[in-house]
Amino acid sequence: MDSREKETLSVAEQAAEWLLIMETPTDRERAAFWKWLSASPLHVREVLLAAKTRQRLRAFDASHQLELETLIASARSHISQIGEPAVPPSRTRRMRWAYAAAACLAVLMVAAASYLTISDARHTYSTELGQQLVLELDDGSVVYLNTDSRMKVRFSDQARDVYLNAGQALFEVKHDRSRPFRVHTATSIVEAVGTQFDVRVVGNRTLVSVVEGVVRVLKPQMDAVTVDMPAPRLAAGEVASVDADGQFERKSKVDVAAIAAWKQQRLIFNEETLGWIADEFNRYNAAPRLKVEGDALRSRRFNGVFNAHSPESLVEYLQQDPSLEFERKEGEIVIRAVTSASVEQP
Amino acid sequence: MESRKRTFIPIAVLALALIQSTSGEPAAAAAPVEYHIASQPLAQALNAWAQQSGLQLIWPAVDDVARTRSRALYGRYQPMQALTLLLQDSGLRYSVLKEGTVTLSDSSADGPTAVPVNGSRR
Repeated sequence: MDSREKETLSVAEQAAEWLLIMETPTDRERAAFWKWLSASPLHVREVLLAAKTRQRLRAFDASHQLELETLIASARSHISQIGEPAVPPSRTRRMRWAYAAAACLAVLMVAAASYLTISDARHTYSTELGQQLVLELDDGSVVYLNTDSRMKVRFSDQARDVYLNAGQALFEVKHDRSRPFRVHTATSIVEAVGTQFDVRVVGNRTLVSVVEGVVRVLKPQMDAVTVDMPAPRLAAGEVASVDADGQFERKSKVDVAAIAAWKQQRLIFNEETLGWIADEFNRYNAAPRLKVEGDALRSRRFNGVFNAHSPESLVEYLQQDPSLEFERKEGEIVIRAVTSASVEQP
Repeated sequence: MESRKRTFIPIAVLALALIQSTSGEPAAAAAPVEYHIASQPLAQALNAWAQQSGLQLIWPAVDDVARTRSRALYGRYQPMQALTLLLQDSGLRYSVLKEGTVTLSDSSADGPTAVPVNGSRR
């Protein structure tokens, strides 16, 4: 076996071990797993490869309502049938059956994906709050669908059309000159041939960020466009916003690494308001919801990086400020200034 | 013959439910990290540091400081060692909250939990 094969094998081993650990992870292990997963495309690919192979087995009925807890429980029972005692595994190397466990979990993940996303034959995919989805389209392009998003895919011989009805998605587009790849939202069409870019629907605006290559941003009525039609172009690191009136606004250059950070469930803030930051956490977490009261407080700006699932870390930081008070209600943390003037009456 | 309707195959779900709510990062790991941070506005450089370290970071946006040009940082450093280098001459110092979140403050102001950074100021 050549060295490249060896390298792949060792990543496969790691993938298997991680899936095993992620059955009953500690907070530290969860964080470490996601860090590992996002460290290299090879890591993701390894998981995808296993999933793809096993998918052909069709061992699971996609129409069943598969709860994640059930899936994990089922994975455990499968593992014990393979010959492992039913006690929780220690964190030592058990490669032989770790492979089986990984494959098994991969199948379960695919089954869950099917249930979550294949709601009809028109290729509609959606995610619930706090979920993300990675899918490979039949042209080899890869789509990362972020939390609380809805997307429809329609490919033809002339074009590859994707309709992002809600939420956010990152596209790694396979090059195909004969079939432009277009992402449609209510306010714009983003067209690429082969590149990597992010589209997000925020209220009635569309935000487009380019990681790699160039995209053209077209208006919806320009659907039947030709290649030479004039349209604003965005290059790597550029971000633009298109509002409901079709108003195109180019923003300053951003760090390319920051655009795709949500794939690692990381939130990156560059001079963002506390109101926006709280809303970002709320995109990923059903509880606790963060509610920032008062315009003055909502418009305070911060820089920083958080795990999307650690709203409590933001609260912990803000609690250092003696001028703020915090009220914990059912599934919600209200943050407001202490001064009596800014306390809103119920 | 089997229907071939399902041409778009979702090949994996990274189910976030698996990670649910984590209670912050583990305390700043001491293991060295390979950093690739270009010279750029300081706020972006510090965000890159946090990303590459796998740590959480927050600090109030202070225009003139956030937009100063950072130094470039390439190579293996322990996270806090790298942060110290990036903060050199910025007038900022770091402290670490209980759950491991790193926060920055003006080094001329008194912070109750501030950790002095050796050699960051001259």
